[in-house]
Amino acid sequence: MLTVQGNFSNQSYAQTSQMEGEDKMEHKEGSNVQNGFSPAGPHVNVTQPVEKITNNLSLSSLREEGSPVLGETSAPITIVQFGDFQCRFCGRFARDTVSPVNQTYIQTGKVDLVFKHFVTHGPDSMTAAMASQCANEQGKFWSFYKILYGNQGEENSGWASANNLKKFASQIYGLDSQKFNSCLNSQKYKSFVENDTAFAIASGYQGTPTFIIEKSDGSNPEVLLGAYPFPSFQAIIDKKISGS
Amino acid sequence: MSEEKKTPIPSSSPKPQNLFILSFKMVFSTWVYITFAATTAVTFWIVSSIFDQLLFFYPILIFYLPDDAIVGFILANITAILLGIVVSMNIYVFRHSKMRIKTASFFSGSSLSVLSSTCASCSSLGFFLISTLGAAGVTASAFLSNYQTPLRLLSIALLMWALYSVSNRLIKTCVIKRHE
Repeated sequence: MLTVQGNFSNQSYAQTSQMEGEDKMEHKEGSNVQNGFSPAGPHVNVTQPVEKITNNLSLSSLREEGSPVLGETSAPITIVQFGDFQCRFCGRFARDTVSPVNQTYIQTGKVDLVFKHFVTHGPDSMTAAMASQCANEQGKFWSFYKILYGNQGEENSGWASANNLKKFASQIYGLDSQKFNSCLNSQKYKSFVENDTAFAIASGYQGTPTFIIEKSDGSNPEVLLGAYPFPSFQAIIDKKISGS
Repeated sequence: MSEEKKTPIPSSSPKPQNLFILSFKMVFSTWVYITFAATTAVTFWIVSSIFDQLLFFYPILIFYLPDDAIVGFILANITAILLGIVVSMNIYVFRHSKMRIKTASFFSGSSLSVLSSTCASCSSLGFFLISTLGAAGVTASAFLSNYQTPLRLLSIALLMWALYSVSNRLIKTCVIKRHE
């Protein structure tokens, strides 16, 4: 089982998700961290030195700042995904690759998967990102992640409107809809999502999905841009685990 | 007069199937043009597969076809074959005829194919569009992404038109040469 620290809400993934075999996950309650960035979206003004931002991808920092984490605290390797809920390649990764990565590496305690927001697809992406953080607040991020990517529609066609997001959230077992709706309406996590996006831009990432595969202390990072299949992740992770 | 009746003059507008067969036989009787066609088709296939995120070279060479990419992959294969044939035929016309190549439909077909292969919003191009053009960029990249399949079908239609056009020119050129 997973260990849960601090204010993390622990849950069995099997309780809330149909993703078979993925019963180990860990959530940390999201926090609204101010990193000194101005409002994000596509036009982001970075007001903090890049060096300060890019040194902040260690697992402990990511947990601390409230990014959703799937996996155990002791995992030696971390995959950080910069994603957008409207990006179809992010959807492909979520549907095809997360499951084998989870079964092979996350459940065995070798890897953590962390999600960071990189809002590049317009206004509905921002709403979806904020909604996912509201789900994360209740320890349901990965259930919400699966539902959104499983129901992905055409970009900015309304499938990720606030009303639809509330409907998706209401399908999640154990999620308090009233609390979720209130969180989404208040745009509580707007600056959190903007900070994530500003971080991605300042780090020079070019699009979604971007993956950083690194040691948990943030060292030895390897960046992948695109929906790489499982064997590609396997090759990099195995190499990092073997220490070569 | 009687001799003219015995020698039928080839029609300037033969049936499409005859048109394609005649032009195919004319161009692809030589290995050079088969090589041109194969090289173009394979190059386009590789570029298209990279844009569609089906083909990866790092950290391992891998090709994979997820369910959501099957339709696009089939259309990309059709486009690659058509593009190879059209390019090769255009080269043949360029080398064997003084007639100018009508490039409009060829280039619009091929460029549209490449463009539609790219999920602009997910790529560097899309990110560039959005960060540079703001709302207009969002609209442009969303259009490319949402209408990828219709755009690919349109590009196939344009390439079919280009194929018909170049075949027609080849046969017409022969007719002209026979009667010169």
